[in-house]
Amino acid sequence: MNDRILRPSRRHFVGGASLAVLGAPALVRNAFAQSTFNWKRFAGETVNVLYVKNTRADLIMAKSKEFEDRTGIKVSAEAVPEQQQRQKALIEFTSGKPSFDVVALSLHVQKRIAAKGKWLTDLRPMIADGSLTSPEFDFKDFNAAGLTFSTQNDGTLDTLPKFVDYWILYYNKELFAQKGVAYPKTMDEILTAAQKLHDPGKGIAGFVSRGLKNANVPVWTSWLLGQGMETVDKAGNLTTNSPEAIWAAELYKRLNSEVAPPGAIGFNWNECQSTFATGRAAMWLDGIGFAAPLEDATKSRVAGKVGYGIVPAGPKAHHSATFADGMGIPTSCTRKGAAWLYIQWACNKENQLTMLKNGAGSPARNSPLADTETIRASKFGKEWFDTILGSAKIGRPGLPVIVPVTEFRDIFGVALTNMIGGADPKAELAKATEAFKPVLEKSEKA
Amino acid sequence: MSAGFHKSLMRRLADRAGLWFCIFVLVSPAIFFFLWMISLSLKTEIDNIEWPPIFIPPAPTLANFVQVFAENNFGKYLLNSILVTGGATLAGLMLGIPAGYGLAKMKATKLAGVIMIARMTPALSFLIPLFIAFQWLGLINSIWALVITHLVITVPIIVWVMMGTFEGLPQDLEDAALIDGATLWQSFRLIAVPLARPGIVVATILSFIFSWNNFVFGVVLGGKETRTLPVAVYNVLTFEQLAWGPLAAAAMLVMAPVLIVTIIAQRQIVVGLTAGGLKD
Repeated sequence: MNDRILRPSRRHFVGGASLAVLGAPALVRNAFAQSTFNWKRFAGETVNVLYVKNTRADLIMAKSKEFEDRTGIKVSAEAVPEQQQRQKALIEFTSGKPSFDVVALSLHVQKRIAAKGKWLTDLRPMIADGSLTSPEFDFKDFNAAGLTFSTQNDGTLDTLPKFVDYWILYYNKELFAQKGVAYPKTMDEILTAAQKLHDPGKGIAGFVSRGLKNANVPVWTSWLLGQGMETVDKAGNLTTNSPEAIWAAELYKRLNSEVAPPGAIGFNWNECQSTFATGRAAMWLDGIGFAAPLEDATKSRVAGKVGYGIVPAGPKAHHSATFADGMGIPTSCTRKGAAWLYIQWACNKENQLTMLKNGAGSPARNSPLADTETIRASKFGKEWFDTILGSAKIGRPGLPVIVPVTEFRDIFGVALTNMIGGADPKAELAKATEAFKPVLEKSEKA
Repeated sequence: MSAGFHKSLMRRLADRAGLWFCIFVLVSPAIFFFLWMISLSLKTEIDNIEWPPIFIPPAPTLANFVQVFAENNFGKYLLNSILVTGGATLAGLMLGIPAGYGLAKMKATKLAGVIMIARMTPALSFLIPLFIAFQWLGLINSIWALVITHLVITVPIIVWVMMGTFEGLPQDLEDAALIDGATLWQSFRLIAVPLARPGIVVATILSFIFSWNNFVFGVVLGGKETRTLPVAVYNVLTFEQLAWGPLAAAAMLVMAPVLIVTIIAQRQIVVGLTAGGLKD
């Protein structure tokens, strides 16, 4: 009590101004605060948070103090690079008693394994509980794409979606204007446009995308979505050697060898980004989160010249490959209340808007995208926001929802890399499908 | 006469040039990427992704180093690394030197092979059992957990290097000591260990370098407060952002202690080799 009087938090001031200082803060808070929700319920506890190192995590970690002031809960958050974070999460969950109370997961990779291992707590009862969830939380604000990723087959909501990543086509407006090329409307037109823009003499490639094994798989699945197909169908069968998959692989092969920069076979997102950022590629297919560095003149030579486009339609369908991150609480966590308050805060409207404003990615909530003021003031321009909105309408998972996602990406990644090296798409896919089938079957049985 | 002298001078010069050429070819891969890293750490991000690449920075900057220190608690990570590597190396030496001596005297090659297995097993397979054990002991996120884990790295190297060293020592010196009334312990402590100093130095350097560079243990078993330098450097990498400059700057800072230790210790090796009673 004394402590509260001596060091009142911002909320006390907002709610009760001077009365709070006069000596009845608890009473005043309940009477005057914006809502009667008690954020201080778990004051004194500590939540340990494990993030993947990226701009989104940096942004939210920088604001930890706001949460600590509001709730009296201490935050101990750390961000680890993606691959190591997945390894760390896997090892700690396997041990049965992870050291963190909140974890950020890549749902496109870890969703099924989290369900099979019963890693995480179902969040639905907590969302329904008025004493644990603030009325301002507004669960209905979360978009369908994010919730589809977060909801398991049995209906459990074991993560709260935080970030939905759509794959888009970045293009260099200057190069397009020079050659008088229009933005492609179909996937086939990407190739014809790239052929017109490809100029090896000047060191300019028509198209760049990931060639490195494992990382390259979403490029191929993006093309496959243009056929209205995913790599694993609803019945759980692989479609990876269907004529449609072969068509997608052929397109992948031609784009990544005929109109690609030299050495594209070893490119991951960072090499693609460097190539595009130095104006050496006319088009680049990758996630939406790269706007910030591309529009930063100290890191990019194409700042102000970048065009953002929705992935063009395929022969049979029009989709954007989608990925998502979510936040969850381990089943064995002993501080679930505090952990839930943290997630609630980290994914609130304001923080989701901050993420969008900084070009750090597209939010899992709808409200930030409806904030026209942000869109007008942003340096990323209307086109970037339109691309998010347009992609959100046609989003579909870019990777199969299975346990062995990493093995899937390794095996098919090698096949795709071989194709860039000259191998026949049909033969490579047949071989990879044969190799992966037993892995998939075993994972479902065990 | 003069022509012959001239000819031999030319020939010597050609020999020299050939030698330097060979040295250049052999050493350049190792030196060049080091120089490239220095170049990266001194350039701005836009110069770092320039094509064709720029080697000499047009406008050298220390901004990358400033950023590394500003954004990371580098001093703390350095201290963590020193504690972990120093602790594991010291403990490794205390266990490894007597163990190497015993194994060498007993000629227990099979037992030595068992120790080698620890070195050959992929580090990842130790992680789950160690993680569970440390959790049980309440050591997760503590420096102790890392020191103990790093013994997996240091002990086998030290035992193997020491075994080789002790096997190479002349038995006569110790026999002489034993005849003069020394106990086995005294003969180990006063005769064998001083003679084995060059071996100890080599073992120390090797285990120091391996432990210093270890990454996986630090990532999984270390927490925010116990992060070691290699892990901290890797954390400069961020998805969706390029940061070659800060990465190179951080890598330079991590490398510095190892370089310094090696340079200092190299002298010790030479001193150790020239002194002592090992000349036949």
